[in-house]
Amino acid sequence: MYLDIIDLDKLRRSILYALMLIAVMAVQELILSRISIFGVRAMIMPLFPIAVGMLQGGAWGMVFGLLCGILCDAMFSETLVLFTIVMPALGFAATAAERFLVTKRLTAYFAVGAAGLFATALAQALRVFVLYDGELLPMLRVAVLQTAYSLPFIFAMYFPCRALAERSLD
Amino acid sequence: MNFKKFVRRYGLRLGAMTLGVVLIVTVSAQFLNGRAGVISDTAGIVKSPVQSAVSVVVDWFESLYGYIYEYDKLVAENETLKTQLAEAQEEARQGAEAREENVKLREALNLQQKHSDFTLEMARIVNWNSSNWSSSFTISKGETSGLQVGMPVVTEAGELVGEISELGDTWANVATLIDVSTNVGVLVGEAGNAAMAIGDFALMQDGYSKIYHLTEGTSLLEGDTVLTSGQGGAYPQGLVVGTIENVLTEAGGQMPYGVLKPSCDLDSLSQIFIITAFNVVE
Repeated sequence: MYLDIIDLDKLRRSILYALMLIAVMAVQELILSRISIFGVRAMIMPLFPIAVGMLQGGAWGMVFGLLCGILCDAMFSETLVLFTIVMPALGFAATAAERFLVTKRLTAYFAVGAAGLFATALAQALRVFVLYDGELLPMLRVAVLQTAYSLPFIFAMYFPCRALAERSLD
Repeated sequence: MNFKKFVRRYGLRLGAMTLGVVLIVTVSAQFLNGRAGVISDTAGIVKSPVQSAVSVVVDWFESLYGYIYEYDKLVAENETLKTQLAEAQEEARQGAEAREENVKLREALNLQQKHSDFTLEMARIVNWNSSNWSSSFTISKGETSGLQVGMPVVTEAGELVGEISELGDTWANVATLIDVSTNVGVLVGEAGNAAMAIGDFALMQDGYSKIYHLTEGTSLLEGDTVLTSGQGGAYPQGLVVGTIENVLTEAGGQMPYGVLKPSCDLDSLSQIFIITAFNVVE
């Protein structure tokens, strides 16, 4: 009787997305944090809420963006609530882009993902610029490199999320 | 002819012939003095290659048998030796770590003797922050060990590493000297001119910090040693901060600043000391 009031598809989908988020976090924290090219590391966390928002819908993108943001703020100790604000916004913006501007294809996700990555890097740079009077050019360099190093992971994020979004889990 | 008749007929002849041969061989052996006689020599010549062939075959069978029978024993012995080797290597590693820790603790004791007012708490670095926008790490101790936000962090040689920026029950984050949030009162050079060591984002990428807000009329020289001033009570006086690597001017060309190279090697840090109490300089 109680199972009738629970949407099993949504529940299973949520659990799978949560597991995917944990996997992305593990890759970010355990692998990418140790690989530095010209002193800059990749930051792939924004790709997750963008993928969920584009492929699953706005509410999903925002909820998992919020979860992703809270975890990122815990991981990166210098930010208090920066990612908690940015990630849900990215999830929602990705849904809006898919609804009005682009399709759900890989090329569209690549473009939206790249924009999201750069926006996240700029948000991190803004914190340094506003609070600590950082110079613009070095921050721009780091933002561009951080975005560039994260781009190859777009492919790794897109296909599993699309497979999950298109599958019925009833 | 039956057997009895055969023996009766040929037996005597056979017995006499045998006796004769024995006598001849015995007598000739006395004269040959160890050297084999003709018959023995001939027998030996025929026997020797056959014996060699048989010996080769027997040896081969013996080695095969040994290989099959002793293989399991050798495998077991190999495993035992591998285990013993691994244990010995582990002991050697632990010994090396203990030696390294011993050296650090002796240096910390030296530091404590130089600065008898310091109370030190040792901690291990658990993890470095993976952000591109800050320089900080997490240590293995927190509030339950008596730590507080703002406490200075040093190496065993008294070199400033940074300060505690965030605190949990059993962990703490340390913002390093080159982090953008750093602000330390320092004394520069032999004259001890007052200045500020400030984190700079561009210099942080290269592992440096900035010396700024110099007292009017003072100058910076490359190679000048930078020590903490102790003013304000945030840091004890006399901790080694670093040396001036370069002297540059701001974009407008008016204000000089120094590029500070920290004395501590941040990349090789594994263990640090938090100064939980010290005498404040008035």
